[in-house]
Amino acid sequence: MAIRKLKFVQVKAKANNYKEMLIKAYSCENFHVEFATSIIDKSRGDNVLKEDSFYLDSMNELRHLSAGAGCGINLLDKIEKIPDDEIRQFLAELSEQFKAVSEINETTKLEDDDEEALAELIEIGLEKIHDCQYLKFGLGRLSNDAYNKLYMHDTDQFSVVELKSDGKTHWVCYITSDNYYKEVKKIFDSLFFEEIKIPPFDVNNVICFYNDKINQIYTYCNYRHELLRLYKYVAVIEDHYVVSGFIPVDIIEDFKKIFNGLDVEIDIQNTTEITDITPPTLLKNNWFVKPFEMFVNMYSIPAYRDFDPTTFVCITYCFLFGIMFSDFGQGLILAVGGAILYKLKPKMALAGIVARIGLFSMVFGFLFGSFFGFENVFTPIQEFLFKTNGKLISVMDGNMTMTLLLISVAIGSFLIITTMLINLYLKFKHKEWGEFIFSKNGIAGFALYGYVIVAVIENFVFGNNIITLPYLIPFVYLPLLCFLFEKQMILIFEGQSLKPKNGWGNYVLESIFEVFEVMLGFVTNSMSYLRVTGFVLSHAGMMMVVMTLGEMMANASWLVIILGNVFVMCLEGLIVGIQALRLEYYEMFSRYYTGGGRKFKAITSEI
Amino acid sequence: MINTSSNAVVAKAKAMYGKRLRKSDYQALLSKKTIPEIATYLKTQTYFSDCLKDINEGQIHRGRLEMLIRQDLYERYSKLIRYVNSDDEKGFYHYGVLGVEVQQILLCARMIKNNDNVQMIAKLPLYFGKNVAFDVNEIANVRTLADLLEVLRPTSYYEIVNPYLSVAIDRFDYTGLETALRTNYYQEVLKIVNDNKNVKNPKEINKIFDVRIELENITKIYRMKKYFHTTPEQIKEVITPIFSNISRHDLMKMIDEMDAQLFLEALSHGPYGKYINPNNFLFMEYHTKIITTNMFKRNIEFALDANMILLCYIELSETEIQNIVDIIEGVRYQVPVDRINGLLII
Repeated sequence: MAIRKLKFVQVKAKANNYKEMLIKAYSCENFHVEFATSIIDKSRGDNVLKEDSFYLDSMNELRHLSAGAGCGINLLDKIEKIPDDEIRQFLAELSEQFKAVSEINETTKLEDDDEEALAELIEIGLEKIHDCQYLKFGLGRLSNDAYNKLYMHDTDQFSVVELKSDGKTHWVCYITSDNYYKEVKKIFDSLFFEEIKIPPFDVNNVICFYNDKINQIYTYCNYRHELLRLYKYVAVIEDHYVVSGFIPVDIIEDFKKIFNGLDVEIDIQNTTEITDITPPTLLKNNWFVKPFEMFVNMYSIPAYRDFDPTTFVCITYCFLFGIMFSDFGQGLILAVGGAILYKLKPKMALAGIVARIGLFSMVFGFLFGSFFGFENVFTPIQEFLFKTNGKLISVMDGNMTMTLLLISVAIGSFLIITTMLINLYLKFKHKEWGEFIFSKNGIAGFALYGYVIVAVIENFVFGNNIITLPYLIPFVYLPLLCFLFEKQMILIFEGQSLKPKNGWGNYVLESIFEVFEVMLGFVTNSMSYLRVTGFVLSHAGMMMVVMTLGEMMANASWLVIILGNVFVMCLEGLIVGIQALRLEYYEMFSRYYTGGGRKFKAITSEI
Repeated sequence: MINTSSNAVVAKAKAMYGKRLRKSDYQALLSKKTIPEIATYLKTQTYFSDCLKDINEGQIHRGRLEMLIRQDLYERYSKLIRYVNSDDEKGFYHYGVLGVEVQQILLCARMIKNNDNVQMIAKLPLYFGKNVAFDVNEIANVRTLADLLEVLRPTSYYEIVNPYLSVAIDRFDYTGLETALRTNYYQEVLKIVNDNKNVKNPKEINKIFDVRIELENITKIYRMKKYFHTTPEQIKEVITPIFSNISRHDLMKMIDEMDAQLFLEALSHGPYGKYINPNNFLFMEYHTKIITTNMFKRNIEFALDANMILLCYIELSETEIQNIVDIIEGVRYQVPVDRINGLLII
């Protein structure tokens, strides 16, 4: 339950090694980097590093050449450093070689079957075929009919090799001498010989030869090009190339080690010394609480110097959901299903939350004695454990309803007081004295609300009446007065004038309505927690309907119970989840939490 | 008794005719710029998809495309004659085989004369196999007139061709051979039509063949007068002596007294005047083909006789194939679309 402490770091490199510095910085998984524009001073001549397009151009050329030659490009997992000069040299060579390949591909457009037939010829060697001075070769397709007719001709003039056949078409290569070539060509033409030009060399061989190197260079260029995206973080200050950002205090030494062997300067400053950049917030929570960061971030990220409410959210949300969705069996399904999904998809925080709230549903389901709507499954265990006569809590018992309603108001009051205390702590910590003393969530509010709670308990539980003038003056009248003059008092603590802008008349009139609203707010906020009991009753009621329907369907009772459980789980699970979140945001966060922080974004997530 | 096989042929042939290419198909084909585009259209949009299913339309040779389409007609013809009574060995359907036999003998003789057996082998319809009277494979080995005569020895053609083939090549009379074979062909076909008890309406079929012979005669007369300035006597020797819509007397008078232009004008005032107009004349074969095509179209719509429908379907399919071939050739040699369109008989 904390926000990690950060330090502000600046890594400075020279023109000859800033790229290496950037690559090293990029390898750090906990480095939140700041835009160069936020640290440069234009008047001083500082600037942002300009992008160069060498790697992008190289990638485009590789893609262009490879597409022309019919060679695929794959990004490799391993990146090997290649000097720029070597890349230039390779591109020149490849351009020369692949130009010839592209020309061949353009003139001989081969289907898969043609490739197979050609592969047979390749075994002989295409270069050798073209080197023959007195022999002529012809490669192509013949229909079945034409293939049969071929042997009706005088075959002394030529020799035919069948390279491939699919039963309807024959891929053949004929060989004849220079003298007979005209005659033989005429025969083949008459048989509608679909000639395939024999390439001067094996294109695949050339592609294979260069393929590995192409992939290697493309991968490296791609990596370097991706690094260009990081140039916006590099400020050029005088003759230094500076990358600035925040790093958790506990890994400062590891961060320094990354740059070992590289001629760079590393400046480290406390966040308090940095006034013009707001430090980002990096939350640190244990495995159980961590998924609930999603709810906090959805509302607003905590400010760096603020308070991380994730643990409080985790406890209260699980507790409220567990009471409202109290069924051991359904909770078990949520817990197991959520856990499996979270295991498979660790980034799916909601699955983690479902797994945790499922556990609380199980606990309260056990206490309320509910198991997939069967209300008496746990009764013997409860009788043994809690020495009760029958169920521990019988929700559907009419006598129990009022007790449950009072318990939910008590829970609400407890949570309101707790959130007020948290607020008091935060205001005290930030020395916001006006808010600390006079606000509805400050001392004044706490005194008034606390007094009312205590007075109600004293009156109805112990029979003591403390609603008397000596109590009313400090705990009611004085707080009301504080509420009335809250805004002005806050201004005084901020050293501003006491006199309201629109005069005292307007101010008092407005404030009276606001005080009325505050008082009403205390009541409605407490009543808001009545929904907790509402959903306990609603859940029990819905499950009773399911069980009744199940009994009516004698032959398909299990099917009705299963479908009913699924229906209740989906419908009520969703509603209760939303209602519990509503209580978190509106009844609790509104009293103590402001957020407004920046997310800590590691440099590695940039690419 | 109802002849079920005849009914099957009528139903099947009419169903197949229903799948023919329409005007829109020809327009689509005419809009294609390359042979692969035509092959793709035929393969994907027409009933030729079955026969073209294994081709690589992107690289097919136009010759192979034509051959596959022609072969498909033979397959369709084979499908139809399967419905004909098996005991009817010399049935009317046999006229198609006779036509192929005559074409093949003439092709072979022409190739011997031109000393070009390469084209002869290329054009051999091997798919006809044993359906023809002689061995097609042996034709491939023929190099001389004597070889051809030897191949035809066991057939009924021997007596007919013997006088023409038993001579030295320099004295070979191809036209005489052609006339003899064609006359024999028509005699044979008409014999089948008249003798076969399964032919219900021999008169109608006779009429069709008579018109065809007459139109062939007209074509010969016009060509000989126009291009070879042949004497009337020589013309009379090569025409088949069968007359239909133009009487013997009128036709002989036209041969004797008219040159090509006058002959054309005389035709335009005769029974074929609706189709032959000297002011809008392309070439004779085109106009005679239109006449026969219209005749076949009319008959396939209204006839009930299986033999008549089979004949019309095969002839109309031949015309359709010729149209496709014209488009393929036109695209191959980049002939303007309107000129190709003018050649189509739809």
